[in-house]
Amino acid sequence: METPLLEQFDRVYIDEESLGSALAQRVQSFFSKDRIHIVKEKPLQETPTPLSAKNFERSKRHLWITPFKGSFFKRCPGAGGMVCCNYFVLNLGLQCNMNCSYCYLQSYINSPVLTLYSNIHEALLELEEIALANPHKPYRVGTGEVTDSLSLDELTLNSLDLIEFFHKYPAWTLEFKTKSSKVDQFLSVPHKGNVVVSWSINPQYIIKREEHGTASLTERFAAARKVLQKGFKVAFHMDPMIWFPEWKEHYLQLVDQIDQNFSPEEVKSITIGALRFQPEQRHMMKERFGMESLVNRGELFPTKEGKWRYDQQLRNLMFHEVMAHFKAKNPAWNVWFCMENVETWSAQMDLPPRLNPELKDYFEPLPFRPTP
Amino acid sequence: MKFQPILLCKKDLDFAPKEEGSHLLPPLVWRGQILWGFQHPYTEALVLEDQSPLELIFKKLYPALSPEELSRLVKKLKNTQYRATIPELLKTYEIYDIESTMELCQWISQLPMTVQQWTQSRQFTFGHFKSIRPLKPTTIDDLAHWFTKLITLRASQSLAIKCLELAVELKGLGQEPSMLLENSKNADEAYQALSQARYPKSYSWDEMQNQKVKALAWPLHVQPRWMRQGDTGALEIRLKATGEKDIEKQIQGLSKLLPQIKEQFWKLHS
Repeated sequence: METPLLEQFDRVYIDEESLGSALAQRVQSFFSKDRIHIVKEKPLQETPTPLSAKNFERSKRHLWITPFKGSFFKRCPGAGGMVCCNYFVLNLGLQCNMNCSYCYLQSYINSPVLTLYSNIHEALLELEEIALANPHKPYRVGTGEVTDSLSLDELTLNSLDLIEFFHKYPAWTLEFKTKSSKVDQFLSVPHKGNVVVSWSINPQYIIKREEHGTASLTERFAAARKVLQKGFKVAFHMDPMIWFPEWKEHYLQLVDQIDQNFSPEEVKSITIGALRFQPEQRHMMKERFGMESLVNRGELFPTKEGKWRYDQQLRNLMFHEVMAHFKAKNPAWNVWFCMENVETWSAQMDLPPRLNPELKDYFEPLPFRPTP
Repeated sequence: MKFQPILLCKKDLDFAPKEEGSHLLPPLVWRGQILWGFQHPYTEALVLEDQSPLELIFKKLYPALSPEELSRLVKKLKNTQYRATIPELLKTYEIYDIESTMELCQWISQLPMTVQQWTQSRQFTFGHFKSIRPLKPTTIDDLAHWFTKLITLRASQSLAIKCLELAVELKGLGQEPSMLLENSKNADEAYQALSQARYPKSYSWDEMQNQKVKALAWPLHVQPRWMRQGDTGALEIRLKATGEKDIEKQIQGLSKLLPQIKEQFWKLHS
């Protein structure tokens, strides 16, 4: 279950430079004065060092509103040796208010606060520069790389500005990636059918044990139904699949639930991926969630690209079972992989992604910066 | 130069540093506390009239301290009026992750001195001790026992770190790694036993694959084995050929086996 917004933050810091921004004003109207601190410098900032488990926990409860001074728009980093799908990311914040045991931010973040950027207008200017140079190229831009796209959207209302921007570039696709059910704020915004709201999903058994502070599976499905009714597209990421003794029963049931609640025509794509993490993350995961966590109990091994993963054969089996079940339900389900290597693709698909008519567009390389 | 009788000096901060310099020099005392030369055989200590904060004086006296020495020093400081200087002391030694380092210091300083001497001699860093963080404080005796056993088994630094992480995980899973260490004849064997207990599913899978390798009728001079390379299990086949006919024969033999190999090793089974 998601935590109510007012209970999420012990303290809210607003950078003096952000004071006039719409975000700062909303934050000030939302939280009581005693929780808000106007500051000149980033709070709680000590010498940059990896966060301890305790400080990582604390960073989720301290909100920092500030303008971002760097480049908002980035190519999805993917990972060495993985088959990548031309995904671009627009980072409008850093750190997530939810608390998944496997979250990669545990090895990524060294900021002591959850940051939301107050200058989305500058992000949109940056995006516009690229869009004007490549208006007809099928760029896919997501906002859920280093924060959940929607879990704090009732506060930021970034979705409204983004949907409005993408209205001008119908060839481009905006993707919100979330484990939240907070969609009401943008349902009435006009769009060009190029906004995908995608949910990371897992069996409820996993959501309850490993995805703390997130919407339940039922809530995610209900939110997906709401956005579909308003003409937005929906996608699902069955990722990360987590092994446990009854994994097959639960994941096949999840496929059944998707099939019962949606039709293949309603779901743009379903990507699947298995648990993986950077080796340095494992100590923090164990410290924060203990060996009771299925993530920590798993049998994972170092891989060529450095991350730890389940045995390749086991991954193939998990993917095979899920894909076969989808296809048995309805061959029209569009299922593919996220963050997987060539061996996985070739074990499961007849054609490599760039030769696959359903997936070709996703994998065609696109320019990153505006062409001169 | 002022001197103060040793009998009037406190040794509250004697953290048993490994190197104390030449015993020909007298101990150094600062505000009544000996800071250097704790074991030097003198009846008087040279008074340090340095006005710098304590942590800077330590840094001057001990430019580098091992995690074990720092841990003992932190433990000593905790019981004195200088307790508040601990974070500054750690920063002086370029450690900024104060809270978690202090927790590690507590663990390390509770280990038997023989274990601390061993980890220090193997140049353990705080990072190497990271894997013990999920342990419950009540398991210090277990930790000491695992270390002691690994020392007896002549583990290298890297193998000891791997074994320790596995032992901590097994403890968290409700198993008892001590017996596995007790029953091992050397560090490699201990590592195998701990890995097998921690990764039972993968081990039994690999073992099953090994049995399949053994059961197949391989051509003469072909040496097959199932091996694990990280997340991938692989069939390794070595062959030795002495001439054209020999290699042809061996490859033909392998070709005949190919359907069985495909069926037995890579077909997906639930």
